Amino acid sequence: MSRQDDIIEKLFKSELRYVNKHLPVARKSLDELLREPEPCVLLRDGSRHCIRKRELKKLAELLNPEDRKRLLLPIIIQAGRGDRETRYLVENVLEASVVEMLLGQNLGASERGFVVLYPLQVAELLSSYPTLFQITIASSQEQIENASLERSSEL
Amino acid sequence: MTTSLQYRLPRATKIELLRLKKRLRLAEKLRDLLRDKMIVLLQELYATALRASNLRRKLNELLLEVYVGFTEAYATRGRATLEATALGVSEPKVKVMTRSSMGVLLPVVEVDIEDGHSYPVELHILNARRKEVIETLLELSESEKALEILATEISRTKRKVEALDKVLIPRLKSLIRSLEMKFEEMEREERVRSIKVKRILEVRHGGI
Repeated sequence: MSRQDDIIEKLFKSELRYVNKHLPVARKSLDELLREPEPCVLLRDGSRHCIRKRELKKLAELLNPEDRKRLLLPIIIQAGRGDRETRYLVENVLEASVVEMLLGQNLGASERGFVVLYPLQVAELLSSYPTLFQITIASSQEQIENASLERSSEL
Repeated sequence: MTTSLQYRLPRATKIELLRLKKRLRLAEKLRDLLRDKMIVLLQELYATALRASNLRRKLNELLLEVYVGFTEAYATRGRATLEATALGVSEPKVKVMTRSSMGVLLPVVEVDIEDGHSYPVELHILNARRKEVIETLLELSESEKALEILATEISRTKRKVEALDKVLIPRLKSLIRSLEMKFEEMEREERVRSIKVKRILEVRHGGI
């Protein structure tokens, strides 16, 4: 291996280290964010992810006071490879039911405790509520595969 | 002809082969990861493009309404009244913040328009439309800037994926193949040598 290759490899190793650095250090509840003048969360790379107030208010209208305290934002969507295309998973029951409410579809969140989304559904969510969500690359592809298989068998 | 891109064949040792295989695994893992990142960024780009297109349509419709309203107000109230009213209009407070999508910082613009003045009916409607126009315009600018940033990041990620896919990984694979071939050749040589030695010894023993 030449020296050039070593440099390339070092660069790529650093890339690998920073791939999920955009995730929040600690998420905040909807209630907490509604009280802040600038609703933002600190990310692991030191930057800030701010959430639009209008989106927070819209979300607050959909939830009861108890859920407003329990719902942590931003909602994390895990991306992974499904059988043919990329699938997206929302794990938490409350977060999954919020996604259902925002999409206006029944995706079986209350029965299974998670929802698997198709790219078009994610695009719809991101175009209407761009600051409420954050996408991360799933560390375990297995879970996404199992979840998407379960969903496709139901369909 | 020698170029800077040419590489030396490593020493033909088993340790070197193991090291190369480890590097290949890392490169492949990274390529998959970067591909996933690119897919997520493309998803974000698609969503932002969808939003920008909707906002542009909304802005055009709003502007049409505002122009008509403004012409009507101009005709009924006159230039002097409009100018006097415009002096009392407060400036919008714009806050520019950030949001992160796969480590890419995108702008978030929040606008606060406070207006406690009371206007005549036509001007009141016009003022409400003005607020909407400013909000939509700022959101549109935010989306279009986000599109630009995302497109740059996608092309950077794509270059990295291509570099891995078309340069680093094939290079590592060919190095591994050539090392393996060298080991096979050495093994064959060794076998031939042992057969020859065996024959020589047989001839010697037979001669005695």
